[in-house]
Amino acid sequence: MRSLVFRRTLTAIPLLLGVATLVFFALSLAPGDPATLFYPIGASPEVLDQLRRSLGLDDPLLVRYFKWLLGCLTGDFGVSLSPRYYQLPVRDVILGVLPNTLLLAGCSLFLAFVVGSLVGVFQATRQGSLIDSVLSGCTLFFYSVPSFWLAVMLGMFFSVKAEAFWGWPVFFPASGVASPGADSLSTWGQVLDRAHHLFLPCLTLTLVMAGGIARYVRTSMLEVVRQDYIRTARAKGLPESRVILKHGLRNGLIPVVTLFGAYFPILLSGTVLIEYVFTWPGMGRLMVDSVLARDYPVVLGGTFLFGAAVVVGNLLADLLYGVVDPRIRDAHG
Amino acid sequence: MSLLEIRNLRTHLAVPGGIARAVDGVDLDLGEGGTVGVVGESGSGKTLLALSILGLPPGGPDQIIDGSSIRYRGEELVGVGNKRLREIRGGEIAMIFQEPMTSLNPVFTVGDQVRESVGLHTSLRGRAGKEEVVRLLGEVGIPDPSARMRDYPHQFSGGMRQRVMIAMALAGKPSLLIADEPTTALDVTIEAQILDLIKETQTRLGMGLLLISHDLRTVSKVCERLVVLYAGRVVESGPTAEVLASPKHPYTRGLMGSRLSMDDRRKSLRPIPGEVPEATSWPRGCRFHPRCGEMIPRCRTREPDLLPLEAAAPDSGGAVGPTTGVRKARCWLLGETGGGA
Ligand SMILES: Nc1ncnc2c1ncn2[C@@H]1O[C@H](COP(=O)(O)OP(=O)(O)O)[C@@H](O)[C@H]1O
Ligand SMILES: [Mg+2]
Repeated sequence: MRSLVFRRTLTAIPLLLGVATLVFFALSLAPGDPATLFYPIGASPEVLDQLRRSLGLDDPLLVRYFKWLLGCLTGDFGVSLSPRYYQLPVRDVILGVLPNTLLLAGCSLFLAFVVGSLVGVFQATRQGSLIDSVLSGCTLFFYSVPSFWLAVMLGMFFSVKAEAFWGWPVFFPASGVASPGADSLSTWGQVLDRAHHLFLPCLTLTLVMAGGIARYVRTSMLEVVRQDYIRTARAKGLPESRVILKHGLRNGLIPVVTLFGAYFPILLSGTVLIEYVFTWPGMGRLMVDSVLARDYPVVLGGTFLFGAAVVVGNLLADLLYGVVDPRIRDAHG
Repeated sequence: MSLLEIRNLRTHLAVPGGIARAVDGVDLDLGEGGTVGVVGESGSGKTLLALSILGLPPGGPDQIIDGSSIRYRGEELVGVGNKRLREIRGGEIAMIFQEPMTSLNPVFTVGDQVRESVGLHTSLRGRAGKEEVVRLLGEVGIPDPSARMRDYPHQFSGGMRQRVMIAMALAGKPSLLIADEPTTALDVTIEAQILDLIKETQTRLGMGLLLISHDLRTVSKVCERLVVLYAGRVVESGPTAEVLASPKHPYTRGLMGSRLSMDDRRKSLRPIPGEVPEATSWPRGCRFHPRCGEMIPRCRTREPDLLPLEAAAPDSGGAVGPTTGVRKARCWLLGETGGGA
């Protein structure tokens, strides 16, 4: 197991370098000069030159590339150009909003796996029943609708137009992370306020991912319950609940763990759109704002971070695979 | 009181092609500490018979048809509640399966899997539970059990896994062990070791044993009595030595024919042509008639009953003990008495 961890971690390093390279060249080769993008048309050439120098844009491409790689390694992505964060290091700008994204993404991912697995297992134990068909319809729906559409719909249903739909106001905030004046609340009050704001974006992301996960778990469990060891578990006198939830689920979740790697990019792109819809001040929101504000260093740093997150997510999925399946663990020494 | 008394057991499965009448009116008796072998070709309903005893047919206990009776020490198991059934499974009647490679859960250590059975059927917990696992694994011949219990099934050979299955079966101190083709998936050399282990354990613990095999030779080495199953029905039963000495049913003779020693070749017995029909459409009349070399017209239209034979031939040599009981067969060639009921 230790050598598996070691080997997988080693292979992640060239991948990360690849991501850094790709991000750099994709943005450098894109048309447009960041300096002219940033300053209004007609700015004097001296001002533009000075800006280019301060951004290091006057260096040759390769020099800039190695500076960038070095920056990636040390976490130094330059300073922000937008008036909002002017001169603040990109790292600090990102670290300022990252906790919000981690909170949203972490809660959604956790809930999606719990809800998705439970629904999938429930369906597998009632294969072919009416409730199975109904749930299959629901999971297919959430699996196929665009996440931003679902976000807008849920926002209408539970917040903006709640009164028209339900006859009484169902109030979940459809924007922001905290109520005005939340700072003056007690710690618990602040936590509740945060959870209240988290509800809609988290619900959207959870539903979108749980749909796919439930479908996957259902298929996987239907395969598992036909296996001989399930019959053995029943024959030794275990109650059905433990046959399914211990002997079945532990095996049924093995392929689902690989989903974890696949869902990481979906989760990240999902957060970008959903943070935007719900004005949740996280990484996604920052990226969209930075693109609009032509804050080139923040876009570069943020994109690298997203890429790195995908690589790390896949690494985690690989390692988890070894944790849940002893056969994999052994096959790799 | 007998240990196991099965009367008119019928287990029918709904399958895409109709209703598979896979077990269709089976009678079987097994005394305390007795050994009965069930033989028949693949598809004759042996596995389903065994699973029915534990209330575990593939689609649930409802597949056991009303009117079936399975009595364990006098207690009716058909229709008994789930809770009692779970106590019986593993605690009174334990089962080992044909495929040791897939019958153990790949994600739990063998120690955990044996210990689960110990926890279900005994009061041994914690340290005592662990010691019991080590004892059980040692008892079935696994070397260095306290280290091996931490290994996963894929780290064991087929024979060793079957030993683990046996240890798991013994954990609940059952009075009846059902072994469904326990050696079919194993090498011949390992086969003998596992059969010896089963036989030795059965004798030492005084358990009843229901040994299932498609191979007449395998069961005849271990069992006092034989039950020959064909197309979901018993076609012949009786003390092993007597059945082997003078098989009464053409199907039994056919099974012996596919397992001949050089000596017996002279008797010109041939293997049975064709194969077991689908359980959804058993032939009319005697279910064996399309494959039978000795068919008479009546076999086509009416099915004979399973009837007791006259007393065993005096020269059969087998000692007829109290547990061996009578001989029965289901064939028109044996006389005109059957079929009226
Ligand atoms: N899970 C199942 N689903 C459908 N049919 C089955 C199932 N198990 C057994 N059968 C049918 O029941 C019959 C008897 O099967 P089985 O008891 O496994 O025979 P044996 O163990 O003697 O080979 C076969 O014809 C088989 O097709
Ligand atoms: Mg079988």
